[in-house]
Amino acid sequence: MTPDCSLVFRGIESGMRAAMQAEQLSKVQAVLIEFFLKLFDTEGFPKRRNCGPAWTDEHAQLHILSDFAIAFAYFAIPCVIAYFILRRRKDLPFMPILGLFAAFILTCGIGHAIEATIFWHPWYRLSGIIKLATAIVSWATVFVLIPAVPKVLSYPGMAETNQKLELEIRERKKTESELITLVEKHRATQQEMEIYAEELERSNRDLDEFAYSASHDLRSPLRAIDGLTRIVIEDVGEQLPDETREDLHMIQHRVERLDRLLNDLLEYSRVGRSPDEIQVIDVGQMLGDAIEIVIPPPGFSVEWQDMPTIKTNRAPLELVFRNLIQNAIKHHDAPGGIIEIKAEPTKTGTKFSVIDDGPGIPAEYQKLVFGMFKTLKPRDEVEGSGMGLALIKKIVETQGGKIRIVSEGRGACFEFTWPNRRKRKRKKTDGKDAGRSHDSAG
Amino acid sequence: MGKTPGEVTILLVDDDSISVRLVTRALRKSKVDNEIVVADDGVMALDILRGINGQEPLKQPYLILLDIVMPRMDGHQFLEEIRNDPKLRGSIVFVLTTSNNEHDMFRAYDSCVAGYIVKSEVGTDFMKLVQMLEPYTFTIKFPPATRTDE
Repeated sequence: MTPDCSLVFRGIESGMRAAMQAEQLSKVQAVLIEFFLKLFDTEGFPKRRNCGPAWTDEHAQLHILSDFAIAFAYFAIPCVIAYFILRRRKDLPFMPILGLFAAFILTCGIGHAIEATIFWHPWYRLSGIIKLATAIVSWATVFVLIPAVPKVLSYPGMAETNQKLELEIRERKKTESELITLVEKHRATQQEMEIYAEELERSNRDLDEFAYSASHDLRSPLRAIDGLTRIVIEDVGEQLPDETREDLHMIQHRVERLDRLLNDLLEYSRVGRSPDEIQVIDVGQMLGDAIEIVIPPPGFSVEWQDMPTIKTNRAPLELVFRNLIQNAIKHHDAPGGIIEIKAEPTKTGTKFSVIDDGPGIPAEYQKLVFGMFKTLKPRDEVEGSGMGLALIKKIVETQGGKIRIVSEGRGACFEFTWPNRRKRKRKKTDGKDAGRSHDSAG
Repeated sequence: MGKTPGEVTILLVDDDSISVRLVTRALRKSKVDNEIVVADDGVMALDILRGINGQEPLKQPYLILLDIVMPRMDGHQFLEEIRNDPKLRGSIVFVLTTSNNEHDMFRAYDSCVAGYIVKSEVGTDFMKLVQMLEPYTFTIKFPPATRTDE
């Protein structure tokens, strides 16, 4: 204690005594004030070293060193806690308890340090205050701890947590390896797809080649047979017996049929592989054009009302209508009839119906007629390759639509959906420059 | 100049003998008595046009009726060959084929053919072909037999 300080304290003390004498302060207040004024005062207390004859320097040193050692360890503990809390883990649970614990340890440390000094500096008042502070903080810790205990107990133990973590890691590793397997599988599938795509392309090329040679190699002999038959009829037809002439005509008919079949086969093989030209078309107008090609025989009429304007690939739609109209006329059992065409908008496109008043198609045959080479009459009665409806079905389905027959008793209705097209599909380059032929023709 | 339409030679390049016979017959039947020379394929047609083994090259004016699908050298290859030959470049060629394949058509017109005729469109007796060719040989002016503009 510096002389200046003691002077100040003395001053305050004398002032206080004066106040007490004037009975301005209560006795408790006066005692407290006196206590704190003399907090660092050692007067009247013996040094602990001198507190009994048994104390030796060795005893004193043991106490002093131990107390200091405890004190510094106690100072270190809150520092370590503070370091971890502040620097590393701000997410630890029970922060207030940890704080209180740190304060408790700190006060304990201070207490031990003061205990050590008391051997030569007997400031028992300060020592008492520190002990009081320690007691308060300790009890505060106890009171905070009690409600926290159940919570702490409910916290998973380290071992349990580790186990869970390990489990999770194992799970994740498993998922990871599964993922890798999946990726590998996906890659393999992709490769497979590529191979399939290549194969498909090759098979398409084969089909093209087949179609090409079919149109030449199969048609040339047909034409030759037909031409030669014609020559024979022209040259000696008059002299031949009627039966022979009829036989020659039958040869020609069969040749025609074979030729038609070839054409239809080629057409069938081409469906879906022709250039995709999307345009806005007036269906009514398109039907008019189709009728001009079909030319219904006298007695037959094709009727329609209120046809929509749709965005689609025109050629296949026209082909479907032409074939359906031809089909209706071809299979009609009366010398004349009416073919009615209707259109009805749907959510995704248009539903068209081609309705005839012909003999109708019995239920048991309705599925059959869409098959290839299926006709319900002998070949010689109806001229046709038997591919018309198969072709129509393939075209409609290639465009994403569906076709069905509704027929009960007389009359048949071919009903097909034709989806709207919004985006242009990838366009093939074939045939994009139609028309330039006129420029370069010799 | 000074050539009469009757002097136009018709070079028929086709490997199908019946087709050749039918075309020839149709021409003769229509009293078209122009000279008809037949080649089985592109190689033979080139030989006739260029003249080999001491043979005279085919004299102008001539008109070529060319099939597409043929052995050894097909119609497209033949067209390429003559369009690259300064002497034969100007030849008038009609394609006469069974193929109505659009790829064939584009290729043929790219090689400057005078017309593309599909056999099935002219009737099995080829009469429509003859009906087309007859006025053609009368109306169209053919280049002179020898060039004088080079």
